[in-house]
Amino acid sequence: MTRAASRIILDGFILASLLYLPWWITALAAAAGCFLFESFFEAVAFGFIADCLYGVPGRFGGTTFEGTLAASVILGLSLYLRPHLRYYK
Amino acid sequence: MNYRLRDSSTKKKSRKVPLIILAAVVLALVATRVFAPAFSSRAIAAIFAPIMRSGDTLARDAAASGDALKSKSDLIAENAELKSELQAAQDELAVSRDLETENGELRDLLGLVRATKETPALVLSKPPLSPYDSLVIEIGSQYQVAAGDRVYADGDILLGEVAEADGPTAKVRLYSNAGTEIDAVIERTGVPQKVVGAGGGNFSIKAPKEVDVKAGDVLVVPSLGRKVLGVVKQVDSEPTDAFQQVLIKSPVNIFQLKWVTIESGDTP
Repeated sequence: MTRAASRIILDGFILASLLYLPWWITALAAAAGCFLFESFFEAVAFGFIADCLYGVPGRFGGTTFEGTLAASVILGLSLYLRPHLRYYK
Repeated sequence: MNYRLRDSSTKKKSRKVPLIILAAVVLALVATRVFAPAFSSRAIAAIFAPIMRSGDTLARDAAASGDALKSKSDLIAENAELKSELQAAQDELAVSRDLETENGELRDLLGLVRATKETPALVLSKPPLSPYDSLVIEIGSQYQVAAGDRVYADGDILLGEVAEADGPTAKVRLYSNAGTEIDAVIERTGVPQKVVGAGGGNFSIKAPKEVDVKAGDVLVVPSLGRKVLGVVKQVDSEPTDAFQQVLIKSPVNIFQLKWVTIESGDTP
């Protein structure tokens, strides 16, 4: 299976998990995507979709973009760490 | 022998590009959530609500196909059980109707007018699907559901309020959402308390040790016609502490909710 095909399959799984599975499965899959694939910007898009679907003001000063921010932090971390890790060389 | 020096500046620049793109994307998305939350929610809900509905239908169909494989004796036993349950429910309904009539007559006597409308709604998503402790229900602004409308389970168990209802679906913020505060009263003693949401249908109270509260006490919200918020499950206190920690749980399991009732209009 090519890398692009596995990336598409993971995208489909994350999208389905967003609608039908507990949030922590989605979060784990998105985090795995960030470290397995290069520039996994889809993670931020999935975080944004989750915020739009489920986000209600509550914690953190009434923000409704926790998913977007969490995904971008994980993606930013992976973008920063990947060049420094021997595993990816 | 001369070696070319490695040009690290180009490499660093190429590393920075994805981070800059990420920052720009995140800023754009956060700005959308801040300045046009209704628009983004409505657009996403319009795309995903039909898929969520179909998932619910598929789950029901799968459950129904499982029923087809049951044995005849099981079905007879289940039928008898359901008949007895139906009889009990009919008896309760008769009592409830009597009480409702009496309540209406008393309200007429006192001149109180009920100006609320109750709408049942199917729950499309519930915790733990989202980390927000929110529900997505299948009716939205087309049914005159508006932000601030109260949401109940089983008629009189207070769950939360509608947070957004701009599209084909509405989002419900549960009062058990971590950090959410609501004023309630311990029904047995009439002592008012500030109840704080603890997530997953749970609440907590930090009350002085002198407050008389024990496991099994019911908390009601007097401003909403004494609707039930939760039941005290545990009271923890340290000998050295002046306060006691009261843990409360909603009488319904929010992880298994299928239907809720939306109360629109003025509360009597």
